[in-house]
Amino acid sequence: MEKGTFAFEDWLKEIQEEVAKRNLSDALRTIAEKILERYGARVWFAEILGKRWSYVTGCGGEDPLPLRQIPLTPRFGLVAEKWECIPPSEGEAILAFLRELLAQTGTSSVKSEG
Amino acid sequence: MLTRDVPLNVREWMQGVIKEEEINRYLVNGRDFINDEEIEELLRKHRNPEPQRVRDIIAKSLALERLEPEETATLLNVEDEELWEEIFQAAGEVKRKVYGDRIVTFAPLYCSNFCVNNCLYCGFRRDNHLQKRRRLTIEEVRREAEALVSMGHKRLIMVYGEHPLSDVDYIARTIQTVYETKVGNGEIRRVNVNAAPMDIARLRILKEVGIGTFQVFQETYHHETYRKVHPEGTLKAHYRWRLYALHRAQEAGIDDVAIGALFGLYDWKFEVMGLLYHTIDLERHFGGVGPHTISFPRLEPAINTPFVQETRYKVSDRDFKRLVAVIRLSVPYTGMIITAREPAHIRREVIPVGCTQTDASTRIGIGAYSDRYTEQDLKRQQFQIGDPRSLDEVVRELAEMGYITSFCTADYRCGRTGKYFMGIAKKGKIHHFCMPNAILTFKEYLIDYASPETRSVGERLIEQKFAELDEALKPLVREYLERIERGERDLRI
Repeated sequence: MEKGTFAFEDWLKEIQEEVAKRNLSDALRTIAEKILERYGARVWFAEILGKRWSYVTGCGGEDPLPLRQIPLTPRFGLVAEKWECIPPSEGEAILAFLRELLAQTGTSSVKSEG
Repeated sequence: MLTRDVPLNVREWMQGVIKEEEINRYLVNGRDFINDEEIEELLRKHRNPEPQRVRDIIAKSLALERLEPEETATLLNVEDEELWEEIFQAAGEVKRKVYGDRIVTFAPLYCSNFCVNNCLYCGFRRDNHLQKRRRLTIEEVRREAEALVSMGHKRLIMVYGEHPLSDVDYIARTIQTVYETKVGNGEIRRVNVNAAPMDIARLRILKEVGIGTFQVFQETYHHETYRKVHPEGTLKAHYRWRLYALHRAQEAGIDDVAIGALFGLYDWKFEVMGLLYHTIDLERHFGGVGPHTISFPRLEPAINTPFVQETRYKVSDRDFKRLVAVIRLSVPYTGMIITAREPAHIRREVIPVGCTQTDASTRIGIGAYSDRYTEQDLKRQQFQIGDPRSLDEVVRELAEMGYITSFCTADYRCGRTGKYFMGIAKKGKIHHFCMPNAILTFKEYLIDYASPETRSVGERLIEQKFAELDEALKPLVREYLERIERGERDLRI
């Protein structure tokens, strides 16, 4: 399947099935990779600890760009570069999926990559 | 008032602090990662190095690769003045390559000088009866924070003696209080912590309140000297509990940690080697994430503390500059902190060979910012500082030297921490973020807090540094600068 021609619903369903078997950190990493591959948007995930957003995993870039920070749950947030590359309805669906995934974790901490 | 009772029995409290099982898992064949004999041997073996060997090592640093112990030992043994000049130039080049011409600025906030330890070199030591003991109340912490915010600070290092009166719950409450404090446009955006080593459970409490960097200095890496200056029966006497403090912090999920040595306790060359071994061990255990910063304070006079005058390991100004340059070349991608312990002329001399952070408007007496006393009072200070100048004066001088004062805390507030931060820093790309954000926060400072003289020098410097930015970035930074002028704050990339 060529990039961009895979129906969004199928793409999301495939990711949901793929990450269901993984621990949270690996699941988030996979989701970030898939978003980068499909849209060219770079996202990474962080634990929200007061003012600190502490890196967990993701595909953050090395070039300074405007950022969008999106709290997903009281505990976790997503940081994105080029989030505008994702059609709004698809972005909302991705965020809804992430919120559902993270809701299962509650307020527990997640070990970051390292 | 604090909500919890302070344990009345200090000795009982002390017995619950050290957890041997949180040390032992890091030992290899029962040994820690500082092998005194190996370090002494490396320093002996690499005396009188060939100039070409030194230049090859410099080239490796310029490629932003961390040095190996034998390479650092070689640099430390250079005697030739011209080679040292090459080392200083290379150190400055590495700094510019990784971080750009910017200096992150912060202030220390000492919260309590009660201490159960009895370190021979420290004004806060338990038996120093000339030290006036005080622990700030939460309301006093708020007043200190207000005073610091009103000067323009955005970043603090909060400092605590080791005592049940300043245990982890007190530390967490004081940090939360600082984060909650706002004055006009101003607020503290990042709180780093310098406190005693803790177990993993307590470190998790610090993580939860959103600390920036957790800083523990080993003081001296030399086992025998460590034993001599930290009397038996105190918590601090446990060398390995301290040595692995930051390993435990990493385990607790605090991924920005900071190391340091107190120069003047033992041979400065040995201590530089110790800092390198510490870096290597952290990187080995935590996926390449070593220290976020390295500090290299020199012993300074403290009240009723004759050890400071008597030590035979005092570091001269010449050797101080050398050790800073060698640390810079040894760990090219890590932040380096020079503090107001050093007088202004030393800071001017040494910042260009690799320092990335410094403090200003420094007062280290307990309650010193809100009490607004201007003379140093050694009866409530850990030591005597060398540069008490105001933030405005320091910012102006740095600007005249060509350095943007950065109040940036962007990385820490957008998830560029730990492995992500270190990955960018090791590739020499962190200044792509640092310089634009430094310019933006500097602009905020100039508008909100600077004197007319400082603003004038600073605005000229902003235009100069703006001109050096990548063309692709300029429209965004220009837009943000204009929005800051119109009153918006905390814009970052």
